[in-house]
Amino acid sequence: MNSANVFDGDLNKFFTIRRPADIWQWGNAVLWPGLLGNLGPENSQQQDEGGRFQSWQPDMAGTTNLTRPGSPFYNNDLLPDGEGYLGTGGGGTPPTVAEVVDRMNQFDWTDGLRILQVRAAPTSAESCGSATIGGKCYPEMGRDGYNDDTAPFGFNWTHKEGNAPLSYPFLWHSAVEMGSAPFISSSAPSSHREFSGDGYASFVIPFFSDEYLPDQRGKPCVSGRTASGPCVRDFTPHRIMRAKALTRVPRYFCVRLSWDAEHVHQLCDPNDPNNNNRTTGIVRGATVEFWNDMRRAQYVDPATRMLEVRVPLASNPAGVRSTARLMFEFTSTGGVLPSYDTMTRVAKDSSLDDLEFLVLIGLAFCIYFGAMEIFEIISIGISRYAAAAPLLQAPSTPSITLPLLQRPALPMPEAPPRYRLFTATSRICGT
Amino acid sequence: MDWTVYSLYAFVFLRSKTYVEHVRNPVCGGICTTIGFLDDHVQVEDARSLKFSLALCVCVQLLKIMKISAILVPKMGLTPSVLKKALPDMIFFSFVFAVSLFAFSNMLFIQLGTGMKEFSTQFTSLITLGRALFGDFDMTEVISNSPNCASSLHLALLGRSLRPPGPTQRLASPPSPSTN
Repeated sequence: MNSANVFDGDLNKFFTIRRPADIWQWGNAVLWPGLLGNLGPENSQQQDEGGRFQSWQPDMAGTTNLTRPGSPFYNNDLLPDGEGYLGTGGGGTPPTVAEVVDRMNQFDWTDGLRILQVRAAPTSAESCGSATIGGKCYPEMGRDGYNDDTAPFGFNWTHKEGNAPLSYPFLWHSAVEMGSAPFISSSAPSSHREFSGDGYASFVIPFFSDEYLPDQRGKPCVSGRTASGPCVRDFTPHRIMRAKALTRVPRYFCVRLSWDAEHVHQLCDPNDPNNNNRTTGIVRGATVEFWNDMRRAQYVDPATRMLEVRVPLASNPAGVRSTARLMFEFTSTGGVLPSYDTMTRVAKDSSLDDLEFLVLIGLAFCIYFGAMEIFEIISIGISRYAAAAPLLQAPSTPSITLPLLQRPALPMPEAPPRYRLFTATSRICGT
Repeated sequence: MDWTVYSLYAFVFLRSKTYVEHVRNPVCGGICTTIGFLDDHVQVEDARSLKFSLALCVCVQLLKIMKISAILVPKMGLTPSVLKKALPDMIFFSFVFAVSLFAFSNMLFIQLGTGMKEFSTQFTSLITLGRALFGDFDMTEVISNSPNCASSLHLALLGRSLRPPGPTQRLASPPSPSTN
């Protein structure tokens, strides 16, 4: 879905992304609509005007302003029961939380989504081994002078005067801190490079809550730890995850956004009491604005070498989980090389139980037949066994061994009586 | 071959234990505790490794059907017999073929590498040439779904299709009734 849908009028897809601007457009037209019900927005990008949700609030004390003068908030998260193309052309019905839950059960990404960037540290032209204009150089990954950048970065688009730094810039974290893989490999056939798992991580974590959590920004509170100041309410006690038994009812659709892996913006859809408690679409609005805020903060620039979107997914009724990695590699010449990698696995408890049971049966058979082979070795001797055993033959020519087993070139001694049964059985079963 | 299967199965067994253990008891890292995002890369790598071992094990195990079928019906041992007879020829042919493939991939890498991403590195040049020679398999799709494992198995399958034709086959094949 995210690799096959087109994102612009030229019918470009994920694999034809070739410049940074395409990435942002792909996110708006394919990624987020794909994750949010696989539905396109009714009014494209109307909710992305910047500053409505203020996830980047400089003092961390901002509030979400849905009624800004001149631009009332427009719910773009609607069921496809409206008019026009795909039923998203107007007049659609906002989903209830229960309907969002059903949608999420089909395509569950409540584990969250991580956006990771690896950057090249600026170096001198001399270190780069090449002449540059201005003397600064961002080397190609793995080439002369290349080092991963670890410095904070970001552009303050709300206070452009004087080039004020971003109040809460993107921050570098090691793979160990993030609990992620130490290396990230490319799936692009023309690359196959390995990038460091360290980098600048941002997160979008949608979740369902049994309780309305207020709109908050700041460092997250953590259960069992004492916070030094005000912090964003811990969502763990209220976050409703996949479970076999219904212990809590999901009443609110919420999202937690973090651009630097240290601060978060957490908000819940209050549901509209004037519309049968249907959702108001602010989760989708905040998510899309967050993505575009990253664009406005110049998240991708000439130092970017790799950007990875990692989404653990689940299809809950089927009990199947999948992890999708969508990767963009940036060359020092400014090109973008997209690739993706998916890994699917079972998640059902019953399937895991079956797996544990069946591998034990397989092990028992292996031990049984292996033991018979050993008895045969003892009975006829290792040298004759080696002459006859398939192990030493080329795997692609298994029948080479069969004449040896049936009509051995060397006379095989009679096996001791206690081994005869095993020997005969192993000749049949060991094949 | 039996011991190959036993050894591969040992990997499958150990991997499955590790996989189930990690799936049932995921480790929550620092950012998982604060921000709430659990990176499942350990489970993903376990699953990938388990599937790779299992795929190899099943493949070898099923190839053993050739062995059993040759016992039951000796005529069914023709393919392995041909391969056995042709083994020295195949080794020398493979060497010569590999050298020519390497030479042409080098040539195309130097000539086209700067302009076409399919030839941008020595390795990708080899892959592209292989695709051109053996059929236009969608290697991008294969690699995207299993970057480390399936591509090597796929190449192994392609390599298996490299058989010298004609003469060696005649050497190994039993005389047909019509010629008697």
